[in-house]
Amino acid sequence: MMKKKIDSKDSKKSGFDIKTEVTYMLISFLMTCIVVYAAFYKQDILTIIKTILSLWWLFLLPGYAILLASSKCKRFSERLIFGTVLGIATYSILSYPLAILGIHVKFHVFLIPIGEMIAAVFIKKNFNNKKKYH
Amino acid sequence: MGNKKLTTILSVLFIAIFIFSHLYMGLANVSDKRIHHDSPYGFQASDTFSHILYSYNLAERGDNKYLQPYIVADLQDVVAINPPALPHIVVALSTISGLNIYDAQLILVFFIPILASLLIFLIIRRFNLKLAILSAPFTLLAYTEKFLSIYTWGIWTVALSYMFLAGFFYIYSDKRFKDSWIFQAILIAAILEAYAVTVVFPAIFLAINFLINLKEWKENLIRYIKIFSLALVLGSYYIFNFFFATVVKRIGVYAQSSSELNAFGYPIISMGDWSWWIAFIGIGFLFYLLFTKNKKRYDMILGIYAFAFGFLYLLAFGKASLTFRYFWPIFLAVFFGLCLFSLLKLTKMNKIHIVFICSCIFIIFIGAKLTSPPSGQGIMIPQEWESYKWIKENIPEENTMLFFYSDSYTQSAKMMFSQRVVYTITMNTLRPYINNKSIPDTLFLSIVTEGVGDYPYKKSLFEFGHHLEDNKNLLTPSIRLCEFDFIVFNMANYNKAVSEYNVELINHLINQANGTLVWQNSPIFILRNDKMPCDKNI
Repeated sequence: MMKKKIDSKDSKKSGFDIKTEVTYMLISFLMTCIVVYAAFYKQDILTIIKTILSLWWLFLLPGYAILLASSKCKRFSERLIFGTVLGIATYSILSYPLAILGIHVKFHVFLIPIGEMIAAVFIKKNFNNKKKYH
Repeated sequence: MGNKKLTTILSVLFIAIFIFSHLYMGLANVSDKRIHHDSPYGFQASDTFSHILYSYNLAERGDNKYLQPYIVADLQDVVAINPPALPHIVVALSTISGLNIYDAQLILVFFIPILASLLIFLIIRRFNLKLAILSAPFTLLAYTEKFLSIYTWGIWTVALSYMFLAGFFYIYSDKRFKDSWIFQAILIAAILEAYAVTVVFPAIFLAINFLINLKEWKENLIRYIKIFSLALVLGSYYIFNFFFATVVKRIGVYAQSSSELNAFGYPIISMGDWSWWIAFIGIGFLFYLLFTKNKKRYDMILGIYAFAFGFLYLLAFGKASLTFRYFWPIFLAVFFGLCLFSLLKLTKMNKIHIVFICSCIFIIFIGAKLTSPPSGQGIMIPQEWESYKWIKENIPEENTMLFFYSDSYTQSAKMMFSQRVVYTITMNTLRPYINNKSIPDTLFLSIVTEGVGDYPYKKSLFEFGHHLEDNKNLLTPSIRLCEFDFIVFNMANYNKAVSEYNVELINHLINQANGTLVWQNSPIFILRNDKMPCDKNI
């Protein structure tokens, strides 16, 4: 109970509230779909959604998670935009050596984003809390 | 409605309009408002297909260790030293979304200016939201006239490195990230893997900052050492190969002196290309010099750096420097914004809703400047794409193929989509035969390849050999016409005489030299050699 309270306090302090984040995330996804569909009106909506979801999965979500974990970016829009650039950077840095080590690139599309998000959760749970409470 | 709420709503709405404008004027304009295409669409130069080939190479091999033999004159051991960042993200998007590799490539390439513009927007917003909104429309000039070449002509790896550079500038300028050297190292490593030469820009930037802040030299030095050490470790395998295969041997070194500007190969952006937009930048800069109290404002300083980077060709960084000018509309946007902002402030009209309307007017104005797509389909017509697919599926790999001269084939990289070693004949070789209306027997050919750095191969851990050094005639063999198993003709020619010659040759080969027409989809014709006589002139 106590731990939960501390966690919630901490998330508020660092400007992070899971409910708000998810709501913002959904709104931005919807907005992206609308904007992209308006620009590519000759394309079917399913392909557009699939493409946006792919971009989010590969680059946006991992970068966003890393920034969230590091508690550096306070604004949601910063996490979204810079997170995507960071996501692209980390993907290309990790994918190249993984492929050289013999893991086929087709597996990277799951391995790298999941790995990055797990790493983000790990950093958030261990390093940030340790710094504050230990 | 409260002022804060109105500001939030207007800024969110503005970002949506801003992203839409970028998409509509950039990718949607080039790709006919579609994401999926049945054949490559919107590519205007051979270099675009070179990059797509690297992505195909990665998707087929599963790694970026070597290049496929059909890309490098049938050599089996050529080490891939092409920048790996772009192919890896393209293949990832293509794999997970199911899009064609060429579609995924175009999407990601046009995401580069959007993300870079948004990063610059965020940098300016740290100082002033209204200024950021007013600066934003200027970034749309990135899709006008010459500036668009960077995306449609295939200067892509450099563009990607500039996006990472914008990311580096974004965190470097943020105090919250001051101790986050790991993020900075990640972005430097990404720059190295996107286009290694670009690293010269952050290096110069950091060196100047180091000299300016000499009081904190120890702290800064440790920080820079940490950043570059980690970046080199992260990009070690590529940097190692790149360095030993090219830099050590002085092969493919990208720096060009100012006297070699004509060798740039792409449209050079000059001040004249800005037309009257340059006035906004000039006035904005003047306002900065005269009226801005905080001269150390990072958004402005960055604009000055970006302007100076465009002249680094004077210090022998020709290609990197001239390519940087394509990003001027993004990096210099702040001066445009400052010009408008100062004028609105002078007239006391700098309220958020007026700023918003003013910015939207400029977006529409720049949008109206854009005309129809640059040239629709691009240099790969669907029939040609079909012919490559047919060759891949129907012609055994061991068969030799000659792509007879066509104006269309002068953009040569696309021929390698046939996934066969591409032999072709140049116009210089063919011209005497066209003039004499005679048929060549022995052909002095070129092999079309995409080998970066003279086809390096590993001799030992630290030593690379180069196939082109070992065999100077590697790419210019002489082969008799009758020795080819298949000959491909493309009638898409500007010169009527070439087309007429091709028709005569096809007729001759079919009627008098045992050639068989096996596939045709005008303007492409593919002939099979059914024992052409090799003992005499055909």
